Amino acid sequence: MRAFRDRVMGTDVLLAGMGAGEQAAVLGWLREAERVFTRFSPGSDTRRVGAADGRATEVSASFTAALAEACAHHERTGGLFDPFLGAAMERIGYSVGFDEITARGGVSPGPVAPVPPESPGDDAGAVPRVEIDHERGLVTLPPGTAVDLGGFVKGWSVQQAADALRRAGARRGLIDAGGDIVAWRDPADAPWRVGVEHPLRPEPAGTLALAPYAAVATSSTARRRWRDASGAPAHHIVDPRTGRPADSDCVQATVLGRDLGAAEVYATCLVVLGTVEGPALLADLDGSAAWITVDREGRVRSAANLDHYCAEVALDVPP
Amino acid sequence: MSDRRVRLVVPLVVVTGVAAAATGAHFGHQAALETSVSAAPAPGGALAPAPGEEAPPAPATDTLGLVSIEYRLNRLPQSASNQIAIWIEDADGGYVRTLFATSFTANGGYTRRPMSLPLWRETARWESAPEAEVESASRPAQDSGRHTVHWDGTDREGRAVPAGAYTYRVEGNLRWENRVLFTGSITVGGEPDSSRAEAEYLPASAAAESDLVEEVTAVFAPGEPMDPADVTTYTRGS
Repeated sequence: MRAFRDRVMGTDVLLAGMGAGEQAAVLGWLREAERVFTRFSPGSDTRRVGAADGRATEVSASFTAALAEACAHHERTGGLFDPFLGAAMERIGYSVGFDEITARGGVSPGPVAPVPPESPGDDAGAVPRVEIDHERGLVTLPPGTAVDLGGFVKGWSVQQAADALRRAGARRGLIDAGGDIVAWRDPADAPWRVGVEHPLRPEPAGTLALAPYAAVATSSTARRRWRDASGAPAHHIVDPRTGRPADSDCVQATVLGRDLGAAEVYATCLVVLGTVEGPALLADLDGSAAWITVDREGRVRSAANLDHYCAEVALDVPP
Repeated sequence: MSDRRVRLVVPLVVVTGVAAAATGAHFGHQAALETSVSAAPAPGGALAPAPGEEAPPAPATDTLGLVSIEYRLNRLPQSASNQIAIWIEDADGGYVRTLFATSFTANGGYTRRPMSLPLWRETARWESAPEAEVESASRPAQDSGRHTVHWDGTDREGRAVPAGAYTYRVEGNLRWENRVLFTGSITVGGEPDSSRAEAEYLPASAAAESDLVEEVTAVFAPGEPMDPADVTTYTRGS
């Protein structure tokens, strides 16, 4: 079976190890997810919910499902992963699709202003309330709150597709959406080999021969970078404690686990917290997840449990 | 734990009900087609599994590649409109498979509105279409914007088609019996191909109606061979 490439959700998608019918189903689903979750189309569920000013908004079943899961991660991470940073993204200049920013020479059209810390309905003393009604397909957010499920929803969507294919009996497959990957195979098959890009060097940080099932997500401040209208550099991973682009010593974090949405959340937390605090938090949240980080000096570090998800590991880790 | 983290505000989240399977509309029909194929008598007369016995997963059909049909849809603010169907025919005009049909018509709305997508219904003999095909093709009306549907190179029974030229058609009801029909040809085989469909208005006076569908194009990609011994892809920030 041949591999197929396309561009969906603002990123390059690779589908391998599956038939064309399965590829068509995955692409159809990812395109629907793109329409539902994009911040850059006025008719998307994400935009309509953000514009509702506190009123209940009718949304798709996929929106309530993904938002509920994102909110659970928000709580588990104590707010470090924040699905309500839509307004902060706009303020730091990520107000149009990244393809458009690239076409503008890497300069955002958006204004940039000092950003206060933000969470839903940041009124002093009041605990804001988010309502998600799966049965009636309704979401209600505090006024002034904007959702941005960003990289999480990319991972969540790929995970949904992989789960559906595996339930239908697909014995082998790899879905890669911009470097966020779910790969599975029969234990007797040759392993999928996945490289880990180095954010600061042309050579990869290493290669992983994956176990029969693995989800791999990477977050990096070296990607989706731009200059704002004042010429200052910015990137898309926002530290919810400051509302500004994350500024830890971790330039890139890769997390391996069973669920790609969760791996995406953990990778984001590692980049926000850095190479010391990040792995400590991950050990608290999910001790079964494995990680690889690259710091500002280009040093590669990894968790001791990578072998849970890899048949072979070859990393450029300093002795 | 960072002191800064403690100041983060996490909202009270009130969840009602249970999340439904989000991907059903896309992967349900895949399962339905596989079931219809695996339920058919196997070559050599092998028996289907006994009731209660789990059928082995059907292997994915090895086809020639993927055809992507892209179009722009402009929903029209009027009744008796916004119905579209997209289907494939072979070079002889023989029906192959429906890829998309607006659910109102696909599920019998034509009994109340007979002028709804008549060419597609006649070509596909839709009134007697297999259940799996109805399930796979029937979708809610789409929002305005660019859309893509994919043909995996199989016919309505899930069998791989041979290499060759195929016709793709998009029929749309503009208002009552006024329709637009886009027709294009795409070759599936060992090489990539692409084409743009031409519009025909039925009747010709329908050209005065607003555009429902525009810019219909198709791309065939045979895919890339991949050696499992090589690095398939790279994980990276995106």
